[in-house]
Amino acid sequence: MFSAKARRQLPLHLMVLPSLVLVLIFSYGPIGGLVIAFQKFSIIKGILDSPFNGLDNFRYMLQLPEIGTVVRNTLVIACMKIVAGLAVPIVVSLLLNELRLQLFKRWIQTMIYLPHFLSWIILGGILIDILSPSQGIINQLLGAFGIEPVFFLGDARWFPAVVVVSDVWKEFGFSTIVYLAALAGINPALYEAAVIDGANRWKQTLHITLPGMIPVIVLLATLSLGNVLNAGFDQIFNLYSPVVYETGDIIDTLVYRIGLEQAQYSLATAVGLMKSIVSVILISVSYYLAYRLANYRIF
Amino acid sequence: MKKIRQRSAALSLVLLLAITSACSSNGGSGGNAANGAAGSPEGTASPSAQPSAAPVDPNAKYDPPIELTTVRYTDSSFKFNGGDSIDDNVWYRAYESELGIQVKNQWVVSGDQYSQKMNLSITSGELPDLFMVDSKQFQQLAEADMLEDLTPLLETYGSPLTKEMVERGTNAKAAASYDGKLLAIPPAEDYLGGAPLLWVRTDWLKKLNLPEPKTMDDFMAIADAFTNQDPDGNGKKDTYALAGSKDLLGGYPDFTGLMNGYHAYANIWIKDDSGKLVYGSVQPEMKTALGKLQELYKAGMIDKEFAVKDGGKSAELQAAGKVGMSYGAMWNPLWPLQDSVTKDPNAEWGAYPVLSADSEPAKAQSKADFNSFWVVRKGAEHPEAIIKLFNLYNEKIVSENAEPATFHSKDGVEFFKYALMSNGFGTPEGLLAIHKQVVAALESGDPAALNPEGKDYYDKIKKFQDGDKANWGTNKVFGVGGSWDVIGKNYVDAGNLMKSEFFGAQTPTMSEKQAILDKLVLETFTKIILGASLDTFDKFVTDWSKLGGEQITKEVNDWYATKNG
Repeated sequence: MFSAKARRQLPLHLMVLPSLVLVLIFSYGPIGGLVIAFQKFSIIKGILDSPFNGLDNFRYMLQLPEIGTVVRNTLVIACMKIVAGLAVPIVVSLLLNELRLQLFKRWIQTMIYLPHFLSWIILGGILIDILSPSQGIINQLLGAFGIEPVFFLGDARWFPAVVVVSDVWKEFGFSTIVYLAALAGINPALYEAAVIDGANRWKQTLHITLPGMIPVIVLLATLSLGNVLNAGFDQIFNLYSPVVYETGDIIDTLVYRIGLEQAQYSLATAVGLMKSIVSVILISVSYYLAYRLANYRIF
Repeated sequence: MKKIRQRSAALSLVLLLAITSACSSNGGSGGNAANGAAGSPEGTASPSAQPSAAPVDPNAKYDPPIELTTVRYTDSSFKFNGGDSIDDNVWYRAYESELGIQVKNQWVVSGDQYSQKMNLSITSGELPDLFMVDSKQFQQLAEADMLEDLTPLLETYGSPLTKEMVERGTNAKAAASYDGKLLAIPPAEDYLGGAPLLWVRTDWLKKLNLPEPKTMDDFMAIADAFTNQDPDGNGKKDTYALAGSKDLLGGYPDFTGLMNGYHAYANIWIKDDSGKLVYGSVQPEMKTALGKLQELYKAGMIDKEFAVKDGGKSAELQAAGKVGMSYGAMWNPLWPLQDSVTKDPNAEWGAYPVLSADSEPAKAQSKADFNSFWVVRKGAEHPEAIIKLFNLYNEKIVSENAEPATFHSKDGVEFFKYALMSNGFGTPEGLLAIHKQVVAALESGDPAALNPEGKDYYDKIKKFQDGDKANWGTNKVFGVGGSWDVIGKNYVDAGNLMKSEFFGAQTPTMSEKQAILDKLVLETFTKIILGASLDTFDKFVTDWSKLGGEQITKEVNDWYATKNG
């Protein structure tokens, strides 16, 4: 009853099974819990018996005096992160690709990849020291050029920039590896042909390397658009302080303080649901655009 | 290939069904359990009513032994000897051998997850017989009528000592009651443990020939000297007068102590001249205090970066000998000051009461947090067991027949933590009494009269006096000239304590708006200290009222009226 091919693939399907179960339990199972976004949820009554209150939680969320500021902060920080998070790894992977010394290339690759493994709770403590206006190494360097110390984490104007730069620094090594993998897949015959046609290195990059990377770039860009409302809770939570609330307080941190610290679970769920809906819409739109414009399909 | 796809689709469908049915059956049993808990009072009311008819021996052992379920948490401070664990230890064995109660832990989690896990248990209706809740959970359970009334049980089964322990804190008892019924063993009522004290590097005072601080003017002179006269003698201007953190208020480091000097009280409810309750953070005195902090900051007397550092980060600076003064609670000598003394043997810290800026004495602000209530699930088979367990706890820990080496602590292992209802309980008089007994014993050289906890401190202070710097902190908390010495003499005896007048559960507007208002307070205070115009404060007061402060004030005063009327 199984064809030979199916029999051969059976172990592969079995190997997918555990992750499938995990996805069902942890990603699909909790979807039912979203119902509390429409309830006046009480831990005593539970999900089944809590009274429904329609869209009250959403209305309350939109009435919060802070909501304008935090949505703006979230969008600004998230968009800057998305753009920088795409551009920097592309440039770096192109540069690395041009390196001839394999050992050196590997070494750099490893070095820029390392911060990816540190959690923000650790990096938060390190960054506070590095960016300190009195003892921090960055300000000492600036001081050597006669620049006044900058209070990076205590100045509302600087804070978003610090968040974006530190996030890119932490994560660009990871994306770089993905792009390098895409570069490795480009047929060397194309370069040979281009050289014969008289293309220099810049022309080769422009006409062979970049087009070769487009599918991966579109894929990562599409996926990252879903993050437009995720400005990075654990990073900001570990770096911010009341001085920079004005530009640093984001939806997630506000919800943490109101929803979880005050145990208003309905509100926290409502905000989470709203964020998911926006993300789904954005991903769908960008996927459609990628399909129409770049003829790229994930599925 | 197609077949496989169909098959895997079918397979995932089956899985999906299995999981959803598992979920719904879970939900079902959860619902049943909740119904059972809510529906059983009629069924089980009789056993608890019966004993009060016949004469009872309050301490009678259950025969055959009964089983009692509970839930627990542990943290890194829980240490165990040999094969002991939170499920099987000296206390649980004593419960069984002396009372015939087998205590079973339904679950044990680490301390920081307890509240979440408890919420989950409440939601799923899987409550144990006996458990600890926070004030919010207590309120909700009480409103839903899910807790056993302990009033008659305490009357029938409570030992005299137990009754004394319950009665000693009137506010705590009020917090543990609902509709005139006692629904929980009240937490310890402690107005002293959080009161701010001023900590000063006395070795720096001596070095710079400065007098001990008596007034806010003295404080300013010392602050100036600590900042500009190089107290650590390294030739660099790298010291600060006052410690601060981005949280501004509470525990360590705490600006409230300085605010109290200007008769400003942050985040507590005080009575105004007309007898109404008002919020301390928005009173005009606060503006003056913030202005003073701004001056200190501008003059470089507070770490320029305090506004981004949390308590742990600013403690690093203080432990490194770069900060000469800090405000904080009575436990500060154990952390972070102990670290400073360990690193620098010359460092010595003195405890001082909050200093007044004018002729009127300063009052230290204090707030008792009632946040741990031991309760019995309504419909539990043996609700009276909670009283018997508490009797035993008091007998073994507090009474004159206490057996400290077995039940309190020995060689650094704290057995009392295994006990149920151990949170925050010491002697009926609290730590201040222990301090007085310890000091008396140190003077006479005879520790015989000390209770076990006191003996422990006595031994540590003795070790410190013999040159062991590792016990400096204990000496500074309980010894002569330490935290409790200052609290006792200056706050309690002299009556200079400003207690928060509000200790009820969160009002409805509080649970909605408190987070927003807290943010507003913290943001505004920080900005003013960092240099924003003092007039910002007036706008802040208006905003605070508009964003819910006015409504909360009304609710708090309604609560106050019902309490007194």
